[in-house]
Amino acid sequence: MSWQGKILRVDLTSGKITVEDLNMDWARQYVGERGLASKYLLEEMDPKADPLGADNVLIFATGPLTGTMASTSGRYCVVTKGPLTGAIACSNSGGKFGADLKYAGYDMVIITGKSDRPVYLLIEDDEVALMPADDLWGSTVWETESWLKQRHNNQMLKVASIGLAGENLVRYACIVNDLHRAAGRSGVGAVMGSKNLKAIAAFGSKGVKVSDPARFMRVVSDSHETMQGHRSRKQFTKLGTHPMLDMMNNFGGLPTRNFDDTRFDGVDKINAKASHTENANGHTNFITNKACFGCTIACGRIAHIDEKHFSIINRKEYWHASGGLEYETAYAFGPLCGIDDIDALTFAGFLMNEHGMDPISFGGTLAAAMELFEKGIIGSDDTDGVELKFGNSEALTIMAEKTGKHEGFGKVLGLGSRAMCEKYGHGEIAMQVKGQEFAGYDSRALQGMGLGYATSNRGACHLKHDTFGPDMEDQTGSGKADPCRVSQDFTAMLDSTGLCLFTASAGLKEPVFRELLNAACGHEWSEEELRICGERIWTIERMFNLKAGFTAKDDTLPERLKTVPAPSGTAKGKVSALDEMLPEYYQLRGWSSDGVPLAGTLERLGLADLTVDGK
Amino acid sequence: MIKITVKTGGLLGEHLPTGCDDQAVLELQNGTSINQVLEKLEMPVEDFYLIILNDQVVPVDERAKPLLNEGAELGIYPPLKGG
Repeated sequence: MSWQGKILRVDLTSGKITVEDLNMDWARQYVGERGLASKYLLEEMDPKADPLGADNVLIFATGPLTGTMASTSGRYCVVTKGPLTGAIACSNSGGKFGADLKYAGYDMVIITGKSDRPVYLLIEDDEVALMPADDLWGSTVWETESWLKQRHNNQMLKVASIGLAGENLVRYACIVNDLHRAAGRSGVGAVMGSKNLKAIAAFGSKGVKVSDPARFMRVVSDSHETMQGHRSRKQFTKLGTHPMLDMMNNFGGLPTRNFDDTRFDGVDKINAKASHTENANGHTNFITNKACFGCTIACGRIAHIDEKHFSIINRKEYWHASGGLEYETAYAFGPLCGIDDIDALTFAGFLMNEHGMDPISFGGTLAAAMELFEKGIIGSDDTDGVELKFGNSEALTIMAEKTGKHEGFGKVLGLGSRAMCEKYGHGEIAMQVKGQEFAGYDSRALQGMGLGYATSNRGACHLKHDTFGPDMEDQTGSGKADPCRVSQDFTAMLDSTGLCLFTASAGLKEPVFRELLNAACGHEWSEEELRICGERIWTIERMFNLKAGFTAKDDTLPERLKTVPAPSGTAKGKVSALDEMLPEYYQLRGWSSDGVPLAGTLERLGLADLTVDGK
Repeated sequence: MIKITVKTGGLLGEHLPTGCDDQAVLELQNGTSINQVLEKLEMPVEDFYLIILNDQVVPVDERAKPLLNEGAELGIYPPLKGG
């Protein structure tokens, strides 16, 4: 079977490291990765615990398909209670770290407690140790990865670490692996920082065994062929997710200047075409694409910044290639902040990777700060003399660096948009759900997306459901609740396998994922059983949040999206129809009108022992 | 005859006339439908498309109708998702 059957447990308070058997009943009920880690989290911690306290539990989890020959099998996730939201956090990453963690022999690493000094966790197959990291504390992600490889004389070591943002508890700090892949959202890096855990370095040589190799390779081969010929796969390979910028702009769903508009005039200067076009200095932003472990899509972007650009003209340390613009980063630094300077966007992206921060939340928080500034609620006395006006590309790069290094106004930006705006008495300016900032889709133009944002268990997120099709066919709230629910459950299942969500966009369907799992795991899930797994995972995440104190009142959107009509585009004049969609969604889920799963629903999912006021 | 502007996203510019990048001006017979434009450009038939005509989304069941007029702006976008 392709589960390793082992969990590595590390208690940072005592320094004790143990290995235990994976609960195989839970593995079959929750599959792996996101699902299985959520189950362990719910069992092992009080959801009311302080996310930045010693009682929070931090889980690194792989899936049963992680490290196998299936395409995109490099995925792992980090599950914990998120400090940005206070809700369950599940942040997923690619790169190569996940596969090595699995090859070392572990499905999951469960980290509890808090170290009294900086440490890193070194995993080399069965040899596992907590190592002092006093000399690494204060170093960037890029320095940490390089130093750990040198220190252990192993260039094959895979490192997942935090930068200065995580150390300083920036609420949207992420965990970066392989230099520029990240478990990005909800502040999982700050949890690592709060525990004085600088990094996990993993090297594995054990491989992964699948139950039926011949059957497995048949479906792997077929799935490679399907994806190879699929148009979306070709598009991801050539252009990544960047073309979404033009599409959303023309659709009129591109959040601009903190959701003041749904279209951005400067999109031609920062879109995929611009990144592939020589500028006046003969410089082209895009260099090449890049794949994560075992991936046949290779959507990653590698780019460099014009050496004559103001951001790096005297900073040769940035005259190199690194992670380039993908849609969400381009949106969050570009239209959302009103900025049309592709090199400034790219440099800010470099800083996100170097210091370990989520670009969506940073961009959302900066956009909110710009609105506070433009409305005179804060002034240059608050912002270290920087004119935080929409369109100011220098302000973007300065504040990205200040936030990463936890300096000056960067400390305020590091709180996230909700806490920052509340600090200045204007919570309504923060565009967020449950404290987490929005991805690049306006809920007034994409109604199902709005429902997905409002009900996502980790706060505003575009990756936990998929209603793009229905949203682009019809811009009312009608008929969105069911596709939202169904795709949430499907995504929860797929996120638990160890594969990337983009496989589903690149042509693979449910029977393929099921066949891969069944051949690899030696357990025969039916279509209905696997669907139930997804629903069960979604429901325990919901139960975690309800136990943490969330209610139906938190399943909402900012008033701006519900009351101020979209000013332009195909949805001009429309507001979000959330209040119409939400009751139908609760009903379809088998939840009460207060958003609590009914006893019959919990029983159907095998969760009858869960109650909101119980454990 | 009418002239319309076609804008495309992703890789669909490959289906525009030679020399065009991601947008083109097409000359069409009066009464041409959107589906006929898709066919004329040899757009792949298996794809889902977002079609935007003059700032309005055009649902699938409207695409066989003669909706195109002189000066129309037609956006053709493939299935794309962000990450």
